[in-house]
Amino acid sequence: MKIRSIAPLAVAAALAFATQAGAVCGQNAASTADTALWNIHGCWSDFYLWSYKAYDQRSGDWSGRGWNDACNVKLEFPKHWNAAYLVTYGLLDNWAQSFHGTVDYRAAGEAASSNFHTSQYHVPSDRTDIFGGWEWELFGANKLTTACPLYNTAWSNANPASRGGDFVHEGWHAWMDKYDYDNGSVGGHRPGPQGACTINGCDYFYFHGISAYAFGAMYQTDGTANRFHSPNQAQVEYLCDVADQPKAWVPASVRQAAQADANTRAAQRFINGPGYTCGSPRPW
Amino acid sequence: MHRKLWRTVAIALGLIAIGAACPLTSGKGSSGEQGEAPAAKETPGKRPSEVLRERPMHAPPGLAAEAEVTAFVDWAAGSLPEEREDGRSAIAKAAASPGASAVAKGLVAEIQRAREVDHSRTLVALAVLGEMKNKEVGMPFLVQFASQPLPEKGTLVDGEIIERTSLLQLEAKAVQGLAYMRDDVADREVLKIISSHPSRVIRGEAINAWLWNRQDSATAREQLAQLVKPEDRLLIDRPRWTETSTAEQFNRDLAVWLKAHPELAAPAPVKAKPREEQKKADAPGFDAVPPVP
Repeated sequence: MKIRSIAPLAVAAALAFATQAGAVCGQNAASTADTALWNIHGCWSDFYLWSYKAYDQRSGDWSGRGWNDACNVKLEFPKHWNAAYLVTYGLLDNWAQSFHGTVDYRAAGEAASSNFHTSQYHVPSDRTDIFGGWEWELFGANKLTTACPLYNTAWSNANPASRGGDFVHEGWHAWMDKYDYDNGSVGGHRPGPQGACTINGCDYFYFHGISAYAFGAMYQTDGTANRFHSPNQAQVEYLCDVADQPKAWVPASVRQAAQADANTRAAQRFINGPGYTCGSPRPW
Repeated sequence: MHRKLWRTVAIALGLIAIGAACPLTSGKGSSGEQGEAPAAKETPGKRPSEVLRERPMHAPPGLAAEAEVTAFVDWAAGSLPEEREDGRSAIAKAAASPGASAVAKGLVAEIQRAREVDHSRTLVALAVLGEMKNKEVGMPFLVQFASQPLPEKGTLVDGEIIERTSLLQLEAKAVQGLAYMRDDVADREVLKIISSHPSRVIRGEAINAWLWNRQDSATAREQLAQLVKPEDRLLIDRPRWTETSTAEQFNRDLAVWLKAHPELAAPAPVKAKPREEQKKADAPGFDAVPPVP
């Protein structure tokens, strides 16, 4: 979701922030998928000491959310880096069988400016009306927010695959901003329901096949529908790659959550949908 | 005039609110500085490669009784791709055992316990139950589960009712299980879902699973063509991307699908007015190369 920076909204957000600054998303549990992935890497300090820089996370923003308790997977900061671990290492990167490569999904979500976007930094939010958001800032890096529905286990998207998918989604709003594309007025999406999109916040699916983009070239566009991505499409492609092209250590619960999110999103969020399906329909 | 006044009041209110909020935050925030590095209360763990090396492989726990279900779902949730067949063998063994219905009952209880608090666990438990093909307990439960009414009201997250989407994902998993049973009663239910389930997400998953279980045969496609809603005809030809698909096959299926259904074509992207003040510096001090696990 793209968040607009206009005065009334800023006031509303500030007031909301004022009332919620001490609040935190549910911190009592981690989802089964989060725990399963966590058990694969343990709590590897080298990674979060790298990823907090790669995602430009700042202590004040993540204070009280596991910044000083980085091995407690019930908290938001550890859950964030759990998802970052999946984005960073979790894909096979088989060009003949992947939509895109790790290099693409990392570049979309990470902080550094690149062909994908200008600099951004990651903050958590207690909002429950968004999965995440991307906001242009007048000074410094732009802001990428991930919110409660990605952290609180009461929500279906509180798993590392969906959380990482949101990094890509929000990062793609940054791509839209960098290359001056208007994807719509509803938080950077088109109003809905319309066409095959059943919710309010729709995209187009700019279908492309496997091996259509070299790894690292996902940012490329020719300005037409032939070579273009929308935020939900980029997210679906990441989720499909997690479901179908994971590394040998990605747990089943993470793959299943990725498949479920990809297929529901593909069916609900595209005006010209549904998208293709990902994953086998065999139950196990 | 009024707009000017509103803007001034709005900015003032904003500053007051931010001022009120600031004392509640600590350390460096969104000032552009990262502040101190994150830390853990525990001593640093092993490298992931060592953790993996020490992990027992191909050793699913028993699944012979209701009491063993929770431990099995724990294992299944954490199982790796190369352990999939271990899981399938263990589930098949449980399905063929005298205690199969008790195990299925345990899975139903696991699903009911998890569904409001742990979505990914519910998906795994539904997957195991579907794989079991248990007709006494599993099938009636999945039939009922796949046809639960979808919430029309709930928590709006990015334009979707999150409770509805969550249930859609779970119902889709239940439909996979029903279609996998290859049983007359279950088949009738799947066909009913294909023709009349209120959600296209579920109708689409039912079509996908029905066809997959019949090797996408022409007969199965023709059967569904007589049954589906007109707007769902394109779901019969929808490409399916799986880990065993080849790029050639998928790309061919995709091209055929797009040609047969021109309504799937997206219009040209829309350009926005460029933001002139866009130029910004790179993120500071960033090491782009992640550590080796």
